[in-house]
Amino acid sequence: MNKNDRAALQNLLRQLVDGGLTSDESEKLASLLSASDQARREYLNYIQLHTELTDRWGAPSGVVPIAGRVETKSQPAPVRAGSGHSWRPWAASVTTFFIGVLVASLWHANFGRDGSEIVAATSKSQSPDLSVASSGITSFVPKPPAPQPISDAAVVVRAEDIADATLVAGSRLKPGVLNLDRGTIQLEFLGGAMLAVKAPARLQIDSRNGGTLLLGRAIAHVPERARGFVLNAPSVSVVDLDTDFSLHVNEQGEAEVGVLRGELELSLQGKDDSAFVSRRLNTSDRIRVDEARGLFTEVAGEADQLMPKLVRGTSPLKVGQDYVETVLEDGAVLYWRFETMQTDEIPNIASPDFTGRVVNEGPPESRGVELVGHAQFQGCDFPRYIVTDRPLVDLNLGEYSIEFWMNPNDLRHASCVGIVPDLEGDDLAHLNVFEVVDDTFPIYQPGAIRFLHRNPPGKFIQQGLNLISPGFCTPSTWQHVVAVKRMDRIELYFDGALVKSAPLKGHHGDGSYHLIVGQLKPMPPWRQFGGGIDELAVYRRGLTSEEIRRHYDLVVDSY
Amino acid sequence: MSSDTPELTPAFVLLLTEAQPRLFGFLLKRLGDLDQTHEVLQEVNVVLCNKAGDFEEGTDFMAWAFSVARFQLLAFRKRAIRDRLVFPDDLVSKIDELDSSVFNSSTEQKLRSALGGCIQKLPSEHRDLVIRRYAESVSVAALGADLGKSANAISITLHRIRQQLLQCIERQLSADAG
Repeated sequence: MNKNDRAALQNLLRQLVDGGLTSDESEKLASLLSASDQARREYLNYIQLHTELTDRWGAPSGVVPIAGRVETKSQPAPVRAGSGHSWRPWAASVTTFFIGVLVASLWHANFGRDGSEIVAATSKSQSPDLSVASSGITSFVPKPPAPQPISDAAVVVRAEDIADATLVAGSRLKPGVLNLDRGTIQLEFLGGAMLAVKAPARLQIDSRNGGTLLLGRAIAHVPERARGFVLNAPSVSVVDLDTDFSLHVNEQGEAEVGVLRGELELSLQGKDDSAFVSRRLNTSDRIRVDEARGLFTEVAGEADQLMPKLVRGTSPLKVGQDYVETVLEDGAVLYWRFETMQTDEIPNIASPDFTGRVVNEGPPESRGVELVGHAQFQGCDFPRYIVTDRPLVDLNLGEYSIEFWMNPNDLRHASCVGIVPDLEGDDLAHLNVFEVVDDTFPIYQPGAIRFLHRNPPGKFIQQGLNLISPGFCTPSTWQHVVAVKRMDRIELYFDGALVKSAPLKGHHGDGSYHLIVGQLKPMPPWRQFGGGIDELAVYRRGLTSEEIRRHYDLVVDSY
Repeated sequence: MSSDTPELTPAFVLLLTEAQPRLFGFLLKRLGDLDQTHEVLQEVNVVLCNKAGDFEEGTDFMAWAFSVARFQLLAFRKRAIRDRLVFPDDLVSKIDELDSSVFNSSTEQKLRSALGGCIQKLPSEHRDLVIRRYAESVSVAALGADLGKSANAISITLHRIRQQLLQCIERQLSADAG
């Protein structure tokens, strides 16, 4: 193996373990490995090291399944922002069966509907079987079955006037073709890009990082983390470079692309199937693609008024007085409702103690945190969070519960709520942390909820217990999250139902703890949560599953 | 999990849980593709769960799991269209042979021991980065966002750390052998 080949191999190994290879890169890897025994040794050593590091830390220990099958009551709708009524298919009446947090077969756990049991580790996702078109009006037709591309690629965030009742907020979609004869659907690709598509439309979902609009109108928002998202049209490829753009494909397959913000790369495939004509577009550019002549033609005039709207932001959570009274009757010692922002203080309506304090270390005019009936967080490059004004003393001596509602803007890795021993110490020191996690490790599904309990708090990762749900979380949807620390176990509830549990041996102790909301630690501004948090309560006792269910029902019933 | 799936004991699930990284590594070496590795690993887990009743506590779970993984790997390669496979059959055979000869349970134990010492020798900022990547499950993209760097820059730094660790391990194992 010469010097150049070795450098190429090292680069490919890096990319393989940190994100994956393109088909060309895979071909190059195979070529290098076929040609050299030394290359094969380096390849094996590198992956073995990656395996050892993952084995050392990446597999949370001590998590065992909820024994047997757990019957749950019928789950009404979760609460979605933007409209008065919505529900997720997996939240229908189910008999849940969870094997364990770390068993990768559960990535594709399928939640049966209409009272059927969960079918784990099949090629189905937790979204409904979308292969059956309903009434032939709107349908989702998967690609041919073999080979099996089983990873979810996108999640439905909003569905308006869609004929197919299986396409609702929360539905996970695999690669396939989405046919819309009416209505508008908004997706978040699991790579981070958001796309609203308006009927009549045909969208081929290729992967978590791209698709092909075969017909119709679409608006895309591609944040920095999804940079490189590719939306193809029949004759053109739009490679996003951190931008918002529109794409219209008419019945003849002609495409028109408009840039609303940022820049993108437009490529036209030549007739010899290899030559490309490319052009970089910037904000306000509007281009019509002339495939026959291989030309890009600038379009003047007003923007297409028929484009769908990409809905972002958080609607208020509807909470009645009965919910508030129930939380207080159940013994909350801290209850923040985030009603208004007249000062930087958030009253604790459960007691005079534990007032919340809004910390915003950005410019005075910045709005990293706003109280608008809930706490609304925006991603910032400076710390912004909410924290208790005084510590909760000896919280971890006995049982306790933490409850809140959250409405994330997206599925990026983010810390929602944490319990920390101090506000200036070690960056990784947490007694508890709630996070929305991505699929950095194969054991996590995008949109899983992680609850960590670690006593004593610190960097001793192995000492912590992680409970990680399947990929439940849905952007722009209010979701109910509760963790209960009992003397012999910890439990994680999602939308009123127990989803994970693990035995606890020890992990109790004295100490004073602050509650922090909106990012991992006060400094630096890591893993900032973007979206809404509401009705945050802490109890110095373990809520029962019935109480948790009732809290959830009280909100859902108001929708 | 179908209704006739045997009830899984906590001990079995713990074994299966702990086996995930090693099964993943075993498959990744032979497939050279992350998505395909996830896919086959899922199938391996299904088989292991369905056959949980066949497993006797106290016997070698990993040996059983690897044999299932080997079978599922063959089944996957058989049904996958050729264009989708990264490695040709002859290359997989060579990799499998080399992997089996180099990494047995004895050498893995030594490697693990050496790795522990080598991690301690890393500069604290590098050690923290490895911990965040592997222990705190932070993706390179999220690490980049946290640290104000690109995902590619983080990946390159992690690659250099891995190279340091590999060199350190090699030195350590050579010293132990000598």
